[in-house]
Amino acid sequence: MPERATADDILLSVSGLTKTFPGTVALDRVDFEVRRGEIHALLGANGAGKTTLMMVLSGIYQPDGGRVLVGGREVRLQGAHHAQQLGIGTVFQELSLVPGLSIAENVFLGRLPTSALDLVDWHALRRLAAALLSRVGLAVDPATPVRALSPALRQLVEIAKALSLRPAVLLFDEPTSALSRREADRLFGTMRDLRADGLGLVFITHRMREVFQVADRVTILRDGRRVGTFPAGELTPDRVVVLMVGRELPPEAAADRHEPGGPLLTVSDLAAPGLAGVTFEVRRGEILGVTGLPGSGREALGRALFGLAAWDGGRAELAGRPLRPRSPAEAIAQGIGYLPPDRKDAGLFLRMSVRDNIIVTRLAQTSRLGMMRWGEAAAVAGEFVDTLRIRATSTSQIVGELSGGTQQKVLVARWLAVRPQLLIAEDPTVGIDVGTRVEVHGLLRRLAAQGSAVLLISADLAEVVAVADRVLVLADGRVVAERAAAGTSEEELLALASAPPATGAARAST
Amino acid sequence: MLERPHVTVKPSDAEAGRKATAGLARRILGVRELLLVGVIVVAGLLMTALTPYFLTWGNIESMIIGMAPTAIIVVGMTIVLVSGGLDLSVGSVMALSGTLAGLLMLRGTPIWLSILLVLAAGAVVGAINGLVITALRVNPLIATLGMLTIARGIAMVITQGFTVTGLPEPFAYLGQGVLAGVPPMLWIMAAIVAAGDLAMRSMRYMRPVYYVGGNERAALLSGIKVDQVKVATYVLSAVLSAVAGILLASRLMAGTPTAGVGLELTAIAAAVIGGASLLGGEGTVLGGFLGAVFMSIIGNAMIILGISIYWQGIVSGVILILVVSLDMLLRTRRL
Amino acid sequence: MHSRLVRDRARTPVLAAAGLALLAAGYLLGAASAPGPAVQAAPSGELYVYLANVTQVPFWIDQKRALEAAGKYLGVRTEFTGPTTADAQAEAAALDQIIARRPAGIMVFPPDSKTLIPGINRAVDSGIPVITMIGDVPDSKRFTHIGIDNYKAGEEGARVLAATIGGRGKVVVGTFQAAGVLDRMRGYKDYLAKHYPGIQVVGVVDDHADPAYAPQAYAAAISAHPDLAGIGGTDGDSGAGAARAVIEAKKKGAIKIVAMDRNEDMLNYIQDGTITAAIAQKSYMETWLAVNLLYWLHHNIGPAQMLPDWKAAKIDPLPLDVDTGIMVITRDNVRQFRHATK
Repeated sequence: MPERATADDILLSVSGLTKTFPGTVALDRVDFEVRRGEIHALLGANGAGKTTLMMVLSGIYQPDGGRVLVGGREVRLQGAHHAQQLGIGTVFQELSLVPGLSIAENVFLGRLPTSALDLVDWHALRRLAAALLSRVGLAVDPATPVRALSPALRQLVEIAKALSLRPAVLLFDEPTSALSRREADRLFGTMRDLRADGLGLVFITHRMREVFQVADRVTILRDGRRVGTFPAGELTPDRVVVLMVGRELPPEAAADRHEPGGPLLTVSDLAAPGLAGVTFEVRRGEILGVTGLPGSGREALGRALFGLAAWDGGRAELAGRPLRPRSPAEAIAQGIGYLPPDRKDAGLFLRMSVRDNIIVTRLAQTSRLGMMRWGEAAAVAGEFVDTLRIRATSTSQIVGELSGGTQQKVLVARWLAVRPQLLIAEDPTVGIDVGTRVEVHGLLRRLAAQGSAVLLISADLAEVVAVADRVLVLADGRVVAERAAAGTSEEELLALASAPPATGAARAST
Repeated sequence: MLERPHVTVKPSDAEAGRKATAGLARRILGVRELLLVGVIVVAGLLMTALTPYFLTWGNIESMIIGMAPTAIIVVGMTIVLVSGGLDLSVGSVMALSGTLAGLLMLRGTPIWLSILLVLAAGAVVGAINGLVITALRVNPLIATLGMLTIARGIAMVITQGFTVTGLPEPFAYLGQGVLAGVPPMLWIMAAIVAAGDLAMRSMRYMRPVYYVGGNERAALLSGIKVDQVKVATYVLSAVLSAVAGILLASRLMAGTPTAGVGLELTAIAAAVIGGASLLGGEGTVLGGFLGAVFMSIIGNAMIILGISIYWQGIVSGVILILVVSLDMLLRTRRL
Repeated sequence: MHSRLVRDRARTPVLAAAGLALLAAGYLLGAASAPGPAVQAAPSGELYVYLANVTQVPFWIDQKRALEAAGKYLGVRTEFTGPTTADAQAEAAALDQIIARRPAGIMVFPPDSKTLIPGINRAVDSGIPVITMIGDVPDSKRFTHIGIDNYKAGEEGARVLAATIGGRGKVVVGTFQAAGVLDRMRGYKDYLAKHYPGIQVVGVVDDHADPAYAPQAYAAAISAHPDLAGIGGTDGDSGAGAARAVIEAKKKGAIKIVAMDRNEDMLNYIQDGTITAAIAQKSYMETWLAVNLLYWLHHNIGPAQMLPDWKAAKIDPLPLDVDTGIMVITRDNVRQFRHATK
């Protein structure tokens, strides 16, 4: 890739781009360009401005300053539709598909081909949809309803939909956040094909691995400003972190590990939807990591322990008392907390304040004689805002306005506020910037150090290895391996998780 | 669990500034309620300028008396809306309650017992609504729509379409008597509105209503018994509709099976004007009450100003849209 | 949640059972209400049907009583039916359904003067005589029209109201927006304008036919006109509504009320003088008369015997129009107008 591109090669660029919102400057005189035939990664901490930049490029936000040039000509993008007409396509993180309609209907939503008499031309629709699907490598019947597809395949449908408008530039907002490693690799294969076709692709990601796997160039934003644009080959992960955060981060304190106490939770042959019979124990003060491929039971374990799924069999004990929660309320009453993986859908009350989000689990404790004690509620929330360094203007700020990492800290605060004996944290750092990730991990460790136990269920193998004391690997609804975190590696965990079933060698423990 | 922390909240600069400008009124009333009070005052002033007959004690009193049953129902409707639900059966339950109370009293049941039985019947209706919605997972619109026709049908059947008259004289006290200058019905309405507002703002048992309406799944995962909360809101709404029906029957000294047709839409409009969101999670009882006052003023104004009956529907519809649009504009500016 | 998952699986059969239970309950409730429209046996035997609209209001109680009594007297089946809304199309569809059952005769309260022309003609052509009740469809093949139309009823009400307030003063007319009632309102206003220039109609109030809303509507009108002399109502809920408003405004006696129809809740106010009089149509007599006329036609007795074969002669043996007038309910006779309540 030549350092200096000719004017022809630059498909889309912005210069001096500024965008402000009440109270913040989201983009501060940013320059950015997308070239023909490149994959350009956009990195930065939460709140650095990546999503804002993408929204401006998509035409959804109007810049407050600077210029936008498409194909070298200055334009004013008047909305997403206009941008699409100019050849800028966007694939969003929050998928925009209608589950009840077929793939083909979704791809051509609102633009169904018609025959004479203005009737839908189903044959043409199938044909056109099939062509696009093959281009993204999706070998599924276009008549399949979207609701039957996994998130990974739905993502490919989204791409096909964006491609149907024949864009020259494709923008991706965190395309791999809902995908497994294998699915992400497949997506990257598709992106490479599109790059070979001459498209310019931009994608936002948090995952370092992906940057070095597929990007040609990397642009790093920090606090709304562009720190720099580099060819991927010139960077290392450490340098990227430094550029993103502006300072060196201390390595994850592995030395925090201490001797765990006695068993807190024992589970025997737990069978539930997605689990064929798991047996394990968690000790006080320990962080037990649980990982596995999608469908291994990893997603089902949290639900089963928190009262969200009926058990088909098995027993469990928590602190000596039998545990079989039939609802989250019962699980909470027994001292279990749960950080759900989809914090926006299932965890946060986006239209309510920081204070309300934090005290929801302790309404009884924050009241007297049936009436809420608002002073105490404010105090509790305020204390957490301080100690967890939650970046909000006040405890009255609406949580929907906060960045992803800050929101996750609010969720953690909610559970820290009731000091659970066992905290189940599922994918706790998905979509969170590096700085906040480290903070959240620190919080989990602190909770463990105070005597609670943490069940860290995560698909992020690096996270599991770095944070947990022991790691369980699940496959096909069973525990297939157990390792001490210090004695294993991401590669070994991945191998254990991917091993074909019934290889008896898997049950070794250390 | 966490010990009471000794840390006091250190407000950020922004919060300190906001508190300085706010004051007592702001703390009790939200921005929305203040806006409504403002709109009502403006409407009142406008009316007073246009006609001397608006701001008379007789007119004001007749407006408030007329609005009392609706205001009581709006309290319940607001609570249901905040929880993310909808109750279309309130008008029918009001009619059923009035007729049932009348029939019981005609049979010789003591007044106090008749009232209790009717309130209990209201609770049963509300429980049915709630269970159909939570256990059978029927959409609240459909479920309460069904109850709307069923309750009204029952009222028709038990009365054979007749108005129930000949109620015992003492029963008239609630709606026609005088207690400190106004019928007891108005004090009851005031008490219900005040209690309802206080409960929704500060009662620990009502907080879950906001959480359920804000994000049902998150509420469940936070340990809130979502189904229980929902059933409770429908029971509350139905019982309040029963109260309204009893008070109305006392005022008219008649149980009328045709009363309150379409009242549910008026109640929803009042609640939404008052700040309740149809998506749930937002709304206050005080706001709903002010919304009811506002709509009552509009209705009164149209008659006093002599607006043709053919135009009244258009006028009130346009005003409704304007006020709600104003609200939407304010909401989006804030975020 | 454990129980929720279980419920999801069991939901469909439970829903189906609940649906069936509801249908059964609805059926039973429908059967219990008298005279049940949709619960009659197969169309055989002699049947006389009264088709109306807005059928659930108390206004139709007298018609239903008369149908029952005439049926017993003549030994025939009678039925009262029609949509619960003022929906002309729905009534036309109901008429077609009735024709298909081949009754011996049809009485119909038309929603307007035009919509039912095809239906009525179809009935008559297929040998079913039709009588229009209260309102008329003059351009159809109906055999006779019984009753006074709403416009005339309005005129009658105006006449009584004018007499009550001594021929001069300000009045308000109460109504609601249904075609027939608006006709009454027009009759009211036109009569006063024509015959009593000293009487000024200062307002028309829409009481929504809602006993819960009516009082505050009239109260607002009273507020706006402190020297109001009278209120004339054109629908069944206006009497009690106006009475309530007048009492609460402490103007009983100062504002005279003349109501319409004979709803139970207004009779007390006639008794105690708040309402001076109510104008009601002689609905019982109208219906009784209609059933008997249809019976005579069907059995070829009475007027049908004026010719050997009136059908072949294409002569209508019935009167062209039967003007049944109104009855005035006052304190003197109000006792007789109370229906039995349960």
